[in-house]
Amino acid sequence: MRNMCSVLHYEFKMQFQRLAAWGVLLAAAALSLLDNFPSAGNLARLEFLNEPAYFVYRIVSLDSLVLLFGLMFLLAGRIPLDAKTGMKSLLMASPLKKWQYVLGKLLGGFLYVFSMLCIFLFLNTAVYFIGTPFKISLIECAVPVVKAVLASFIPVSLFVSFCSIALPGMIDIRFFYVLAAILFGFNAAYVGSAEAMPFYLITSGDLARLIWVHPGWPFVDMGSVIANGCFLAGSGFVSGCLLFLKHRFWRSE
Amino acid sequence: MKERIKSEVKIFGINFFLVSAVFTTAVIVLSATTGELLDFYPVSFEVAFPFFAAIAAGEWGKTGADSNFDIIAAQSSSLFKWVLLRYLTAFAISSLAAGLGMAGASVMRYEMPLWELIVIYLPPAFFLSSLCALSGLLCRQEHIASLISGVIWLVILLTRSLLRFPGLEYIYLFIRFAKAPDNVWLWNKGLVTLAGLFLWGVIYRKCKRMG
Repeated sequence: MRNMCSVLHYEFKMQFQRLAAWGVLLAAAALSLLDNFPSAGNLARLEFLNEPAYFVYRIVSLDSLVLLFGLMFLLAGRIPLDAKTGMKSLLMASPLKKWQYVLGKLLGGFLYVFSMLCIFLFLNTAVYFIGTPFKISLIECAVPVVKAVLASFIPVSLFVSFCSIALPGMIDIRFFYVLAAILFGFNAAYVGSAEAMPFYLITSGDLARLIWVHPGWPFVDMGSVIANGCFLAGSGFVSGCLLFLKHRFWRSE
Repeated sequence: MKERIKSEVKIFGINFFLVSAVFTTAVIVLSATTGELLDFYPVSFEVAFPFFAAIAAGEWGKTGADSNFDIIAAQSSSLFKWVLLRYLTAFAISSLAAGLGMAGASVMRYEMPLWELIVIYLPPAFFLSSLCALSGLLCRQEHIASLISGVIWLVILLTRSLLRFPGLEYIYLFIRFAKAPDNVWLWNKGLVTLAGLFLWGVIYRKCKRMG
């Protein structure tokens, strides 16, 4: 357990020191504020921007996708890089077990993605709260933020981190990029509607409807919400398990 | 020249061809199975394939991230020629895959003539892959070039609504996908190609300084 925590701690700390990740976070934050800052122009363009829940919904369903896409690129190299630099051979020569290494990497990645998403949302919401021209209470902002963190960020972080770390350990990293780009691109291009969203969407699936619903379409299809959550969490878990099942990945124990 | 291309193809490895084949086959199969509601050609050949060309230029045709880059920069007679040839080889192979995809998709369904498909594919592919080539030269870390062009690709996809501002339809990368007016898209493609050429001007200057 201690070994696994060491791997997890190293992964988490190491990722936070990467400048590229902060660059992506700043770019995503700039984009989201250009799109959603409660300026007169944006308030005239977006009908519900005066509702904090709508603001959080937009940040989660649209703008966090850019951050996640960048983090996916950065996390995907974690296991191939260890193999390339010889670090994996060194670790295999130590008493570290396969499950400790894999679980440390996966959980480190998960905590990292989750933390970055939370920082992104808190930063945007703080700017919205300070910059808004009308009066809103802190609780009005806090409730959708908590909903977003619990209902959306946990499954989304699980999906992005586990898939990005585990799959390039088994398939060519470039092939993984192509597959991920198709899914992210589809998510970006999909236009919302009153009907249930496809379950395989990452951030704009029906899980996001737990944060805010359009007053014109006030229903929430719980079946679709559960399907979206199961897809995200399930795909993450399955990707992680595949790495455990690959015998040639580690020395024989 | 022929030997250099052969050597570049060897450096790329078999995975490049396997991934290209799988991606092209997937596009052809999708062209037969997707419904009529989707504008399949712009989605595939203006959005998806150009990003594949960028990944090919950034990942297989890597320059600054190549472990021998310093030796090549110091000893090569012209760094720019080396960068250009590596880029052209990666871009040509990915464009060949796109061409096969276009031909296959045209057999399965007909939305527009082949020449139009080539015109909607080439400028964004050239721009995104040139951006990848420039980022690869500026950032020595692996995968950063793909990250930069990937994030820009996604941001452009997400900001389709910005087309409400007059003039943006001339530079928006995925103009046919965004369903802009008919008289604009050829101008748009020309301007995007010019932007790609400008990036190559920057690459040339950077190579001159490095070399």
